[in-house]
Amino acid sequence: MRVLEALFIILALIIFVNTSSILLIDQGIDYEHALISYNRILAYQLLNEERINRIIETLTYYPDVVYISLNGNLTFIRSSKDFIITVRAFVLGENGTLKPSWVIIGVEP
Amino acid sequence: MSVFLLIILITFSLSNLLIPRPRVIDYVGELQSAELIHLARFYWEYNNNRSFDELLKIFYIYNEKIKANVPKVAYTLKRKIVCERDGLGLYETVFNNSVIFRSSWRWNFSNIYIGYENNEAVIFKNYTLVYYHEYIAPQWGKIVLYPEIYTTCNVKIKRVYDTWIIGIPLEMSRVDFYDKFGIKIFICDRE
Repeated sequence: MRVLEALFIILALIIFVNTSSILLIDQGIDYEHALISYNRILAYQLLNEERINRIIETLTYYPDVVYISLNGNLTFIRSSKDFIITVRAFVLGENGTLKPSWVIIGVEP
Repeated sequence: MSVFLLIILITFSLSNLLIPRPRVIDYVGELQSAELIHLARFYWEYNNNRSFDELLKIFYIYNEKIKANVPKVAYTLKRKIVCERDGLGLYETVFNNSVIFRSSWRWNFSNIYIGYENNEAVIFKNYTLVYYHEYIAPQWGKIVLYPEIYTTCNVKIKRVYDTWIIGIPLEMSRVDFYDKFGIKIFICDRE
């Protein structure tokens, strides 16, 4: 009986260690995926468009975007209780007219 | 039984942990290269009258302000126009981190035809024009864009996939076009 008890404890420990490590790794990957993905999304928008309002309009359609800040004016798209990561970009202007603007988006992983 | 209950409780509590220790703190990649492409493109836009050094200074002020993490770079500029019946144009900015912006166009004379303007016969020179942007960076290789162009000159313009068919009145030796970013290109014919 003692041997059986010991075996069950070892099995429980193995299940616990594996499950907890998988849970921890999954959360790390979500964060990295979101950070890299939204860097790429913003990069693609910047290559195709210089009008900051058009860029922001496109970003509002992405489901993970929680808030958008344009030149410091914050607009919440939806609520979030979880950890938020930020991605930042700026433009010098459009059509050769200097009018710098910056945008910071908050993304939920 | 108690051991399994312990497993469930500990696993549940771990799953609710907020883990502020990501392995990637910040990511420097495509966005920073795209910022440099934007800077290069802005310089070549028609309404810009600032030098590249001036723009670079302003660029890095905003880079520092919002912590966009764009690295310091050196650059070379190149502008080339060949005004012939079959000619070409090029605006190029090359950064020392392998990011390159290139705006290229070439035109080829096709034929001469007679068109009608206000019931008057007008002789047109027919050209094909190919215009594109190349954005090169280590992160994505090469992206080629074919922006829309427009003109305020009295010419016939039609797009066929990535090529423009331009009809220019015989007496005109130069026609200016602008793309959606405000970059000016032109067809110039010495004849």
